[in-house]
Amino acid sequence: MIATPLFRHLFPALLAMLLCVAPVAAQQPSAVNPTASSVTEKQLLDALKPNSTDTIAGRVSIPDVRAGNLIQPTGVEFRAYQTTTIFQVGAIAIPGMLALLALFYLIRGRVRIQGGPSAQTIVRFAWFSRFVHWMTATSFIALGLSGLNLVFGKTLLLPVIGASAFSAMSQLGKFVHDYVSFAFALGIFLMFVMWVKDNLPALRDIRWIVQFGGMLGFGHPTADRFNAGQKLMFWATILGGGTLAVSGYIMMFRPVSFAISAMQLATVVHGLTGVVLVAIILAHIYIGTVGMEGAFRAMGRGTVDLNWAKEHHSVWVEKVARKRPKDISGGPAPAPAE
Amino acid sequence: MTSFIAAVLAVVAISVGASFLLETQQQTVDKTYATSGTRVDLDPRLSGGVAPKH
Repeated sequence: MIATPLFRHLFPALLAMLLCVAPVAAQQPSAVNPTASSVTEKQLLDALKPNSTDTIAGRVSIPDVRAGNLIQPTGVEFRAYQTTTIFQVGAIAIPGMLALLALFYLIRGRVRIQGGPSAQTIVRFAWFSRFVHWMTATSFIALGLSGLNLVFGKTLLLPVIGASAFSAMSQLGKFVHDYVSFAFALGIFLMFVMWVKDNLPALRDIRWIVQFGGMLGFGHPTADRFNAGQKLMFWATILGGGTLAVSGYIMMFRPVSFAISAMQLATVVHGLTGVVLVAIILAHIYIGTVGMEGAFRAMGRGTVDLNWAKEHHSVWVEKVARKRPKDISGGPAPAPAE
Repeated sequence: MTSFIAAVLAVVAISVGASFLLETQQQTVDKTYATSGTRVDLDPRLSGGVAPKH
């Protein structure tokens, strides 16, 4: 018989295959009811519709219940924000502010002391005030650069410096951003305590705003220690910095009780506030340095020229002359005797 | 100038202090996101349906 040897070889092989397949077949359900306890396809498709706010979630045994979130359609919008919106807002706000400042400089030039520098100075900021200002400023620069790297770095820096350098720099930037934030938050708090009473709104602020602080050539409006422009800068810094701190610490510490949507909201608020505040601070840096003669000295040495002070803060100068005349120093040198 | 230098030193000191504090106070991920009594839930993890809105 020709078939006998073949059967003798094939039979054990077929038997072995049957033994292997049998347990697998036994594991298959005998009857499947797809609509009984499993997620129906219609529900999934409904949840995935663009305007849906439904969430497909399961259960997990670890403390972070958010890990059970499988599908959240609003995540699509959040991804669009991260990849597109924040980039667009930043690309408009920051270069836009730089362009505005350059245009203003070309039209107006540097704001000079009209009466010319005097031989007298007046104490503007004490040592501790300047310390707090520079602590907040230097930490904000570190936070701003490391934060902007998250928004623009992948597009602008990665192609230039390469993946390895960009990766190392971004990792370092992440640590800097996290840890330096505490100095910034402390600075914001101290600035609020030190200067809030001098930054409350006053009626004369309206006139200052209408005349744009005299920078357009309509005379110098009176101002107390801080004019309306400085008050706006103060509140933008306090409110913006406070918002950055709160939203940033929500992102950093990730409270377990916070839903994913709350975390996404914190991320959106943090990014948008950050790029807008960077643009605002650029204006502050401009007017405090190249934009106005004599302004940097206030934070550099703590004193300002008396003529500068009389032009920009006439009410404040009168108060200081009346209450703390010792703060005004370096009077005109007496004429030499014949 | 001294106020600026002191401010930079303060930023560095506060940042380094914060990093040490967080390193000692915060739990690592494997401790934070796991329980000592982890067990397999007999119910299906994805029981279906639409979960309540957050």
